[in-house]
Amino acid sequence: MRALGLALAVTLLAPPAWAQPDHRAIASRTLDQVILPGTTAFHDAAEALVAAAPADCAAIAPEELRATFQATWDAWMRIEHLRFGPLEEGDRALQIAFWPDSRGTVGRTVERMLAAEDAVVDDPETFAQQSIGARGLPAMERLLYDDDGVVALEEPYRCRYIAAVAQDIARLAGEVHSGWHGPWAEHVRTAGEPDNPVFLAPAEVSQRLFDTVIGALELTARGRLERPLGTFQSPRPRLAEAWRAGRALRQIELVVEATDATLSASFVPELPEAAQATLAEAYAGLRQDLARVAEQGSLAEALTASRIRVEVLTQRTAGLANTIGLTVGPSLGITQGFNSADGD
Amino acid sequence: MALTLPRRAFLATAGSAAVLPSVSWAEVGAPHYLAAAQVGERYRLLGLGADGAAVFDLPLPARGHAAAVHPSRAEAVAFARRPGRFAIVVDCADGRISATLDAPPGRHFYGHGAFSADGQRLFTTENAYATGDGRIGIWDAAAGYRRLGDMPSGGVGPHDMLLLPDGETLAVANGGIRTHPETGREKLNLPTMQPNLSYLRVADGTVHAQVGPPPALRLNSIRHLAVSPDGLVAAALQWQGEPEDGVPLLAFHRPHWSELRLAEAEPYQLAAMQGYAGSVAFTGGGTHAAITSPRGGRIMAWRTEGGAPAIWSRPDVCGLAAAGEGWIATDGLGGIVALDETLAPRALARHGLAFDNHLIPRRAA
Repeated sequence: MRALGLALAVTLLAPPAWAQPDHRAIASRTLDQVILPGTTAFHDAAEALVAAAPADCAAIAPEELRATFQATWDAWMRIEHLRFGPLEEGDRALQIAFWPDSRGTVGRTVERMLAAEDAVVDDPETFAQQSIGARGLPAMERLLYDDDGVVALEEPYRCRYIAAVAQDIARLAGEVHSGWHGPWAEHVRTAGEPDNPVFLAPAEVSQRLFDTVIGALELTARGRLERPLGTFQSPRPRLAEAWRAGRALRQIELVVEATDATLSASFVPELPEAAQATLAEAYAGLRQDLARVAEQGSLAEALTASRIRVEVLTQRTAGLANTIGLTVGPSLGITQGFNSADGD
Repeated sequence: MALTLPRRAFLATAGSAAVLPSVSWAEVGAPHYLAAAQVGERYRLLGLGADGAAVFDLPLPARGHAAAVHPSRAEAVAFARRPGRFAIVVDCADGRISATLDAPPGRHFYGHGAFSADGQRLFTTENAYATGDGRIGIWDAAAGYRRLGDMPSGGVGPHDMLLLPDGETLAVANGGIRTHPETGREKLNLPTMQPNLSYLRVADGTVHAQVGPPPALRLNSIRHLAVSPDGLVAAALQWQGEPEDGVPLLAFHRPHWSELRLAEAEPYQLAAMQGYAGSVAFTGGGTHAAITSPRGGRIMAWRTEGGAPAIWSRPDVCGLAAAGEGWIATDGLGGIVALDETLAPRALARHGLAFDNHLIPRRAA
């Protein structure tokens, strides 16, 4: 431990042997390779979901609707870590997928809507004002799946409600798309120029990307893994995200892919080879850990059959966030917050 | 960012080296705000103009927290971060330390202080750590900051403190959390903590009003304060439960109210603040109040009469002060941003340093 600390101190003190990072290039690559195509893909997926979710039960092809729903959630997971700009404004990310939902808000709200057959589902504008628990991908999950699997799509109200949620997700996806392809692309590309109200320096875009990648992995370790892990005596598989739709492990897998894609577009080209290798190794290790959990079936099955593998995955996910912090941060002159790191 | 001293200021200081500085704020560039900052491994105290430019930039011997600004002399008392045992009086004309305040034996400072209306007395929040009693130290600002005595703060862990517009009342944020220098910043009494906002008469130290959070929010440490021109107090809170609990972090109060009035928002909006409000400020006219959360990277603002909040996002944002009918905010990236009452931003400046927790208006806004 002592030797490791010393090695780290030396690494941090050593002057960078490579050129200063090009923060503008980092911003452009991330926009062009991740953010813009990702928000377009999510918007397209959400439009397809609307097409697959007519308000009339008789017109629904249930298998196709579920497949489209799963594809929309996949598309969402490729951009959901980008918690700034259009995803943060108006808390759109939470409107699209309210999570972590530690109070069980979504389940309760959807139950209440179904029981009351609330007619707000027939008016998109009023529906858009409803509680965050009544809308978004987790609400649709509750409408398409229950604790035992798929739900029959026969009650007229349920189908109207599903259509309303699909349209609301598409509305939000459209706002995210136009926000990113409009003013926010401009904010990112002109970071540090006078009159840019958001990014006061080109390095601030890098800082945001760095924070979002680390934040997504930390939140995944804590919320998507530690919570369902529970304790040895009482694991809590039903606290996993999206388990009813069979996505608990898929969510984690997609966070790993999305953060890797973002890092590869943004920081990796600016890093020295050794740092690139460190990151590649860390991601390869995590993918192996994920595969070893997936061998057991679902996350819930893995918790029963081989809890230790889930524990390893949890530690390695948090460890990856740490590795990225130590590898990317110093190389790019980025640090974690000064005021947020400790209290007053 | 280097300090260029007006010639008159230099002469005035040079000619009165043996006596207390008599330089006025106008002579040191009339800074609108003061802020502590970190540059590399060094600490600074900056005076900032309304445009965010540095009008002075002075060294500090250790990490600062907040400062108390003398109402007339160009003099600031910079407090070390808790549990600091010293505060330094900085002559803002030349950066000279004109006096040092040492916490009496058995005491440490909490990082905030306030002057009396006439500038004759300085009050400091202190911990009598053997018993955990919160105390308010009293210092003679007219005679080289001699210790005059102290009085009870009305609770445990007094942090921020300010003088109300009546000039006779000190509002004290007793955070409720007991700490001891031997255990650093460790919280020793969470199971029993009872924060309160106490109103002390300057003249005799009498606590004439006191209020705490409702029982369900007992873990909401009352930490920082602001006051509107007509005497409405705003308190920024720090939740000692889980960050995602999404509890209110801003409370309003007047001395005669029986309860705090909490600023409401959707639980997920509050949860995004991570249970931590770092600073609080009213707009100049007192119609709106805002809190910052460096942990959430967010600012939330409300009308004082209630309603839904405005929200704006900026990483590591913490320092906040009134600027006309909006605010000015500082952050750990060295950024200074002006915000209107809807929190629409306008970038002012970016310095190559990290601004520490607080942005202190030179005059109570």
